[in-house]
Amino acid sequence: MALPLRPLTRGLASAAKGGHGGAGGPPPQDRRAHPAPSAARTWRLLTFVLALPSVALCTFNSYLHSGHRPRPEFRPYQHLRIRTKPYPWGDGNHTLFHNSHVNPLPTGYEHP
Amino acid sequence: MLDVEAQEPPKGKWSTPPFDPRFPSQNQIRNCYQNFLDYHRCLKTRTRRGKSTQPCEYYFRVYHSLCPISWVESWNEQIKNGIFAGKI
Repeated sequence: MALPLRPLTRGLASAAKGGHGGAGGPPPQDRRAHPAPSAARTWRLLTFVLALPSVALCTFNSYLHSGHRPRPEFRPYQHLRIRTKPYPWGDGNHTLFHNSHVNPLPTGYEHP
Repeated sequence: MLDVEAQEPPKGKWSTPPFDPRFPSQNQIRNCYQNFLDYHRCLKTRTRRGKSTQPCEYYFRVYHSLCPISWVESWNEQIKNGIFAGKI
């Protein structure tokens, strides 16, 4: 692999310290010609090669799974949508992140 | 079927439910509920197959002995309204 993974598996505690240690470094005789890569370079590499592509892949995956589904029919079950005391916000009947398309109130869905 | 009015208690006296090793402790709530479910499941499958529901009377007797009447009434009400939460 192009990534210098073996030094990474040894743990990057030294990278956390902020100093050198992100990717091992060249053998001693080369140190004047090739200065040791810093920890910042390692993390920047990881961000652009691993983290951001993963985010893009996961976004694409959620897009593929998106779309309207038929919502379940409403049944006034007594163990759900319990209101022993009104919520301290709004009209006291809507949950904090109420979504009227998919969340019914205790009496039923709001939109037909 | 599952409508409450069609279910009549069996005739005669019946004795206390026998020891059920699935529920050995003092708390018999689960025993009550399990027999209630079993009675209704038994009714449902027997009537679906057109057989006599006489064997289901055992479960009826057990849950009537064990369950608080208010629970039985509220469950029957929920079954009638289609909002009973158990799997029957």
